[in-house]
Amino acid sequence: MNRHVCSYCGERFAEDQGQQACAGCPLKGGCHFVRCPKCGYENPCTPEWMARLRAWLRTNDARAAGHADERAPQDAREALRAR
Amino acid sequence: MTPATLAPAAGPAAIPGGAGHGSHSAAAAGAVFRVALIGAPNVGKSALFNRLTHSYVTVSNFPGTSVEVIRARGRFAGVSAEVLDTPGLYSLLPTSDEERVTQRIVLSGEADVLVHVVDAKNLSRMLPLTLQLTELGRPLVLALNMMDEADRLEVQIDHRLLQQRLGFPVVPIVAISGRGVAELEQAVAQARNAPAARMPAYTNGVGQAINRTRAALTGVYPVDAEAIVALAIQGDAEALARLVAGERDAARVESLLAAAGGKLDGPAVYRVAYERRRVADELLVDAFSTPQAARSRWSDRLGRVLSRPVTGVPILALVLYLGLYKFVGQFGAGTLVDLIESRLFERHINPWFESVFAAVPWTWLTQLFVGDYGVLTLGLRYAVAIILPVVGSFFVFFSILEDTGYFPRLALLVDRGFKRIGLSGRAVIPMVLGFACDTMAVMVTRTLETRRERVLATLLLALAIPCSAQLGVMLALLSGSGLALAVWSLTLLATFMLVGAITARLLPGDPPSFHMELPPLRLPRVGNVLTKTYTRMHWYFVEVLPLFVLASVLLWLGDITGALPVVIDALTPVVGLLGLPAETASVFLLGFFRRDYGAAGLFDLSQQGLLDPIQITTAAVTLTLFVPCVAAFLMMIKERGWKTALGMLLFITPFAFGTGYLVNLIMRGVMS
Repeated sequence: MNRHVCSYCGERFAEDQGQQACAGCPLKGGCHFVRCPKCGYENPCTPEWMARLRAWLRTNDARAAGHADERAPQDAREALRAR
Repeated sequence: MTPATLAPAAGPAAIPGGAGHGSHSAAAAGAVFRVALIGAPNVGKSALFNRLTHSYVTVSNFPGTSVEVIRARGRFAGVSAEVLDTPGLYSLLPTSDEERVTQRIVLSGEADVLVHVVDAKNLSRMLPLTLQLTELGRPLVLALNMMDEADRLEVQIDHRLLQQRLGFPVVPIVAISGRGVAELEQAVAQARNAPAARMPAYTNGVGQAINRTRAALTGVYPVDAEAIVALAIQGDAEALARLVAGERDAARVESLLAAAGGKLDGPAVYRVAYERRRVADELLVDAFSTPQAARSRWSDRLGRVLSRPVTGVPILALVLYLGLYKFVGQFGAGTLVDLIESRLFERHINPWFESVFAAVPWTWLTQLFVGDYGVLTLGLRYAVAIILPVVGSFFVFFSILEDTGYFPRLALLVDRGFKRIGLSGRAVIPMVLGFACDTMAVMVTRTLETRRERVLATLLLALAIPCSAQLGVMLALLSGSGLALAVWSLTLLATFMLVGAITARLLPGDPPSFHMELPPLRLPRVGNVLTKTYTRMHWYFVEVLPLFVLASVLLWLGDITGALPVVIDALTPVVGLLGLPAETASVFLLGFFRRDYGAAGLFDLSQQGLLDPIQITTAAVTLTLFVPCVAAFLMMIKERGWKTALGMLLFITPFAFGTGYLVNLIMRGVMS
């Protein structure tokens, strides 16, 4: 599950909670914005292709830097999903 | 600053005016031992719940609501207990059904021990809720969850020092791995029979107001009445109902609360929240620090400079001048539009489309695609060559401001001015979003607290807040004349303030209050800015293009059936009253579909040299004051109801033309 930091109030929230806050909107699911459950600000979601590109770039950077634990980002994502 | 301490208090288990701070009697009575997990959303309550419980869960709706409360059995140091996973809440003063349910569970006193679960790395933001929970006078344990993430981010927490100051257990845990959960279970078992912490030492009149009111109460309550009084002073209906039920004298309760509120310097919601924040900050001195702490000191200073009127207003003017006028108006709507529209579309793309359709024998089909109102030569050209570069540059500017954390400071800056028009700084969110898209902004007005605020904000958005595309095109249109730009800007500002002030007087209701925690200022990240700009442009383009195509088709249909010239003829005397040429009638017709579509048409006429500066100003003012677009109007109906929305439309349309008429009259009178 993607996590967001609200661009307005700084609240950290999971995407599904933002989607709950979006309930009732006619554009629900089609607008690529997620509403902060705390302040109501509409935050743009990162497109899937851009998220993948970033992850790929991070993995490449880690490899180039010779970091031993290349699984760390994956583990972090698993941990976030569990929450 | 002297760090605060919340000393444990001894006392009877149930006393008039509250449950007291003493040891809890449930254990002795042999009743079911209940532990409630309380906390904001996403702090890991459910992960902790799964760790603490080992049986099948019971999921039930809270009576009278659709909000789920989850219960299961667990053991705490060998003692069996029922564990409640409550819906997330940010404060005991609820703003949603979920928060209301948790508030009721907490105020009912059904839990023997409350476990406040916080995200350790965000402890400073979550501690005010901990303080609110101490007001309940119940056994309390603070669970600092996600300590692994806090460690990774080099957040330093001295939990022993914090525990010493708070007077109840503070346990660092990692719920998903189980680290510290055994210690938490032990702490919960011990807390069951331990004295609870005393209410924080609130000053600035808040503590006095709460204590005096509490002392005057005679009813018996399941939790300490301090918590209920604190909520009732802030206008919470649930707390007020509990006090009235407890005292059996509504008039006396209201008189006590009014007296308590009268002792506070400002709205109670703000004063109480401020006090909790202040005490939380004192408790965290030397007990909590983040690597950003040093950076936040200069960030705090800069934040104050941005939000104080003396310095904030000139900085805002500079930001608007550089961002909107120079970047969006001159670069986006000037340079980029010139490049894409004049050079690319006019010289290459449109001639190519026309050459392709030259071979088509049916004139009506050619007209549909490449005629005066052609889908390709008008709809596509307006959307891609005029609107897209403008909104693109606007969204870059908007995303940079957003990423720096400037908007919350702007909310503080305008709060005082907004109060004069019946709004508060909270309304900055829809107003700021309105500069991106009015439709989205109208929807966001539902986050405002009162119906009065929502109606006011919707009216002002529909009337005086131009969306990004329209704003950019208007700035490009008016940038050639400083006077035109000044008249347009001042007319919009005066309309915003005057209509707001008059409507605020006409609409009944209390003035709004506003407080918010300020996130830190930060340098914008290129990646974030590009991502946000891309997402907004993508969304805008997907929404706009079909509407532009539809508008072109409708205009084409009107043209070939002969209906369009009739409508334009009917509009011509109206635009004539505004001192505008007959050609602008079609622009206003476009404006009914979308204001930005109309603005693009105006831009087109201006490029052809058909308008003088006064006519440009008059048309720009009139078009900007129109209802934004069909989509925004439909959203107004959805959010405010058809009667209110229709009332607004009936007010806005003659108001827009009337203001345009006056602008034309005054400018011609002054300049002749």
